[in-house]
Amino acid sequence: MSEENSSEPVTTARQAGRVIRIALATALLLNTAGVVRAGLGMPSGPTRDLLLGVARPLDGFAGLLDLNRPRSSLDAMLGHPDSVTGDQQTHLEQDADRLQPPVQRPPAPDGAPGSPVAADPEPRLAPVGAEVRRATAADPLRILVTGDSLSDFDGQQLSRLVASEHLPAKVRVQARNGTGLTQPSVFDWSDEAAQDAADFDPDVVVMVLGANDGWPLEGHDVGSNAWNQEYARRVEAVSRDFIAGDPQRRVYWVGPPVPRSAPWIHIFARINDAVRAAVPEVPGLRYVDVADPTSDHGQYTDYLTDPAGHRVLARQHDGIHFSFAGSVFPARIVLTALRGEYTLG
Amino acid sequence: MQFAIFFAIVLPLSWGLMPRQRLWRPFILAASYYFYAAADWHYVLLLAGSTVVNQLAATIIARRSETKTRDAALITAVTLDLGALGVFKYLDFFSASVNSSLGLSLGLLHWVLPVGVSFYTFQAISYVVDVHRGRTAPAKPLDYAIYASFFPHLVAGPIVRASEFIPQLAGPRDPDRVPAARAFGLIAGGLVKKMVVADMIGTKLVEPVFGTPQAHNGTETLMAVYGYAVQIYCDFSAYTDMAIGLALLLGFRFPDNFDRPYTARSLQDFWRRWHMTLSRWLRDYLYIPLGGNRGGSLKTYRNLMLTMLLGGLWHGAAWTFVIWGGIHGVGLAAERVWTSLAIPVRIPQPVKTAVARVVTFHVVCLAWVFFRAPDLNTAFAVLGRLFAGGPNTGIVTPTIVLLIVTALAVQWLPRGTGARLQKAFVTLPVYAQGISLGALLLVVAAVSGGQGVAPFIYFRF
Repeated sequence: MSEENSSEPVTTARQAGRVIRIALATALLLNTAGVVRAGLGMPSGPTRDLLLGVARPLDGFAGLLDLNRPRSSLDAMLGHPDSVTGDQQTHLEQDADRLQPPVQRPPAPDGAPGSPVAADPEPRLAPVGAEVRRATAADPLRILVTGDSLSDFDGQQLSRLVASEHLPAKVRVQARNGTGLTQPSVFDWSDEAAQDAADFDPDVVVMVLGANDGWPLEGHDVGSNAWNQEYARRVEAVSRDFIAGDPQRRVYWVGPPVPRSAPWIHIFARINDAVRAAVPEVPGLRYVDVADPTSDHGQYTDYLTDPAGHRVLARQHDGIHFSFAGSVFPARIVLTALRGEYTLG
Repeated sequence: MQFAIFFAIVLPLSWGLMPRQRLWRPFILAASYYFYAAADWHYVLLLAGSTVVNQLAATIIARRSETKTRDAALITAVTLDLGALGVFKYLDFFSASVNSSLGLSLGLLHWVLPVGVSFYTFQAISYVVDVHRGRTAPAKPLDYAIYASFFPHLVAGPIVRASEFIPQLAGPRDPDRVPAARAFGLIAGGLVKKMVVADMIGTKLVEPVFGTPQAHNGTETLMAVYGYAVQIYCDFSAYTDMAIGLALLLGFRFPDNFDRPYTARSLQDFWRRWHMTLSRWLRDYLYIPLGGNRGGSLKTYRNLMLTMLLGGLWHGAAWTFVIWGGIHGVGLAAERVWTSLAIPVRIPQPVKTAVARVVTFHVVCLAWVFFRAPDLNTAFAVLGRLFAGGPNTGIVTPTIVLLIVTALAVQWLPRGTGARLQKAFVTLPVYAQGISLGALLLVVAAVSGGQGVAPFIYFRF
């Protein structure tokens, strides 16, 4: 028993409460963006409303005074630069209506002057459905798994599946947490795609993206036809940037899973629609649907059953991300899709 | 985050209502039930049912003098307690085992285990048994309901006895004597242990190795085994530290649950330091009723073995937990045999102690492999990979090694280090205390990467 002893320092309940209030206020003021983001990840309800009701105005105030800088600096120091991006993005999200950050148009697929695509107009692609190549231990398939935070565990699990099945493939995971296609001023996936393609020279790019893309596009709200068309156009543009320079390269675009709560259910469904719509426009682009196979007849589920019959807690608390163990499900789906086009061993 | 908001509302209201006990009691009961319902409101009925059944049994036992009636009330309550636990926790395990061994196809329920059911069931059993033994007077119904559901210990302990908690409800807690510095230390330390140490080691090292043992070499596997020893300690002790800290802020004292377990010199010593409230529960309500060490060596070994096997099964309905308990049972019996032989060994005492500590730690780690592995095949695969070669996959980073070494080294800090820090903390002005705690929260959030917090391991039990 933690018995009271005479030397134990004690204080009044009132003073303890004051310390707690100051501590919570300090933590909140120095991390408003993170709190808003945490709030956005909560299930709908009064707690979420209360948190966002407090944190959103404070985030505006903190943004004016640059109070998120200690957190951003810590993230950068600890090697979490992506979290910085995520924080900034959250801040931008809540200010989107009034600030309208400048949206940098992704390079046009028709080779507009100055765009990266202009140098290499339409890559010559292998016919769809044909075996692209046979990977061997001496010449393994080079797979780059990239995208937002959803891509991290998916990539790790794909890497483990490849290792455990001794497949002739090398998986590189390059997650860019907090990124998306709707705020290129924060993170430009077109630039990133061109750079990654040059750096890693992958045979296959597995792009897992969508968790941060719930914002208007050029003034159009999510779900509108204009939003869908613009999002599809950006998917197409980024895919072409990945493929540029290697007509054999393929992009397997993995859409987000079914999330737990609104408004993400609606947003993620629209993102998946837009990716699907982009596929016919780029011969090397494949859409990988993980939303339906990892749902319960289209509805969100925390648990999934693996082939051995074990129930796995497949999702994280936020109702968006897969858990580490649960990421094996989308990874298996991706591997199956790859096997449809590549001979692995 | 939700819990922080919940507690920030409950704490001032609790102290505000404390002088008016007639209001405070229903308030804290409602707050606790709200907390439990947030996980899944359906199981509130189970908690309420358990409370009614055990209070009714305790009342009958206390009021009736006939042994038969008293025994019947006790047996009924314990049977219902264990029955509920059995249905939710063990029925599928039993059915699956029968299916697999007899080739049958008994249906499985696939019910989700109600959060905290093991903990409040154990508390309920200790209550009715203690009333039956005459060690505890039956509580007033509302007091018992508060004891059974009090939110700081509801989900994963520590297992507080009625005799420790209910007397604290006799009058209002003193608002001028709150050991806030200790509470803040426990909560802040718990956050660091959970969000920085346990989650990082678990995600970056333990999960990959236990998920795909064949992809990792001996060094990585060994580090993952050590890593899991650190992860489960930091995860579970973080929860109970925070539970004790939150209770202190509300004016209540819980028993300690951990005392630097990896400094233990024997398995017996380990169990005096690890999950201490479960250890004493198993001792008082299982080992001693089985006969304890009365009745000769063989019966003592049998009782040790049975206690540890059932302790293993308490954690989960799986053969991995049975083997975990079996390793501890065999180890505890072997220690007694070794001690009884009294073989003179001419080794200096410090060396003997060091060897004993190293051996104990490694036996505990061996058992943890079975505890962590999802099935026996994985457990044996992990053990097999301890001696395997192959390339590194890069999961053993300097940061991970530093975390493991630091977490183990902290256990060797002199006793009283925490108390000295608390005394230094209270000398700070109030605003400095608050800002330093807020800054710590920020650092913990940054180090954990804002990727969300994994559920506490013991929430499953």
